[in-house]
Amino acid sequence: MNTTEAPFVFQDPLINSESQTYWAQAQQGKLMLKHCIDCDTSHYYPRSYCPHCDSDKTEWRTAQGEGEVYSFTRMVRGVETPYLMAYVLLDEGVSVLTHLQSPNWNEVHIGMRVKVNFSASTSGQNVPFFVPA
Amino acid sequence: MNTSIQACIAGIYEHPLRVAPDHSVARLHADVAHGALRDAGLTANDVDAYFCAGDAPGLGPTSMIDYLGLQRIQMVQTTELGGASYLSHVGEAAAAIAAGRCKIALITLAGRPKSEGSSGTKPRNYGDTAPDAEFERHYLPTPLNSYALCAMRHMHEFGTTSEQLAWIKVAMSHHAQHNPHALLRKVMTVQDVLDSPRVADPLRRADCCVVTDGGGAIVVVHPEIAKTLRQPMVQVVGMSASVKGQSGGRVDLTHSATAWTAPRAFEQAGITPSDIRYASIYDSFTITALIQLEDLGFCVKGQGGRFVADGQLIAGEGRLAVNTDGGGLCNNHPANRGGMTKIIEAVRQLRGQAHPNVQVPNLEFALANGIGGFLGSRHAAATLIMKRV
Repeated sequence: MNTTEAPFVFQDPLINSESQTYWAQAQQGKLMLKHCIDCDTSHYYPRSYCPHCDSDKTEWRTAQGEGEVYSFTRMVRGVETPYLMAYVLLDEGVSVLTHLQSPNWNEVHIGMRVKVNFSASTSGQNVPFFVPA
Repeated sequence: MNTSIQACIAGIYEHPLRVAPDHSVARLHADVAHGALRDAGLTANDVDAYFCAGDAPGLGPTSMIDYLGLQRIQMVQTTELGGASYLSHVGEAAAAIAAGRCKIALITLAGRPKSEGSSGTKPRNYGDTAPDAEFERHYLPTPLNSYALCAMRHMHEFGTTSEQLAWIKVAMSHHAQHNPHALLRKVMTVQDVLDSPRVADPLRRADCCVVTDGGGAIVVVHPEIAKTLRQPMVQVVGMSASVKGQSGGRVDLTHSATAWTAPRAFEQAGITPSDIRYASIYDSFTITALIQLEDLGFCVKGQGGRFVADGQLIAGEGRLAVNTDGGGLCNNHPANRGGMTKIIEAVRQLRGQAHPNVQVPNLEFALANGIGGFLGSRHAAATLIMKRV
């Protein structure tokens, strides 16, 4: 987070029956991916059917939570609180749309190693974001 | 190459208003519908097919066919490819006409995002049942940050610069000065663009399209009918549409679905990019246009920055005239959906009805390309190729 700005507080995420596990595990500090047993491939965002091979044999797996910045942008105008939007390419080989938070926004660059962190939404649901590793 | 003529674009109309607080969305649709039919020399009573997308109010075609009083409808199609919908509609209407399902198809687009306070920095809500919403909405994805992510990655992979992106805006502003309806008519320099405030780096305010009310409409007809009408005949010779998303996490921000649609459309038309001297390229942001130009094959991937620099998109000066109405960057972007006006300006060019200062002489072919949705997460693309008969 840019220290000169008010901290960004996530709005409460939408949660339904298919994303319950993702959010319950986030509350425990875990970032979850879906993994396909048939084609042995992870995907994101999580689905009941594997988007790579159409199999319905998908299971939740905990991501290591580390990766590198694939792209990012600093949203600095026309917003209530500035934020860093990013795609992070996890070491598991899937990219996630997320936020970065950093004490120094100018150090953020593509390829930077980052790790997952969590902060509470308005109503206390942990939401994943990434910080410099 | 298909030598028989499938269908022709016989009528076009672009709403002259850019701010329309006193017009309902339905009224704007009616304005452009009647305008396009007048342009063709037809009436509402001639229309037997109607096409619209998510901008149509109420229950879409069901509401609009009733509102417009269309009495002879025998074919209806609605689609949702965002701003690319209307290019798809033209191709689908041509195919339906060739299949004998209809003879005179009306396509309308209209909306009033300007009057309703829309902005590219605000999240768009596509409903709580959007399958990505549970994993993305809390990060506040907006049109602006989605396209900014693409621009940042393109710069990283290929060394594309802000100056090169600025040249796209500069070219559009050169064209817009001749368009009395354009929202932004002041000619800009690269420095003007670079001096505009950063909104989501690397994009600046001037890298973004305008937000306007308005709309546009097109009439597609059977070639035998087109021969009897007043306008020069513009034939539909190729169209392909597709969708590209995050590929289950294998995200690639430097290619659009145009990389898939363009080869198909060119094959249908029996031509190559070197046959195109005028193109309408969806310019919601400067980076949007640059990535499409690469994916269309006007240059190799990564060389878009060099392709657009130094005025190469300015009519009469550059290698490829693009968006001679001023595009979304300077002219208009009705309903936040740019595909319709892209087709309309391409048809004007083929008819020889563009402004004399930007008219490309002796055109045989013109191309229009559209992107809908968010280039940085999930988007549609459609490529449409037209020919002067």
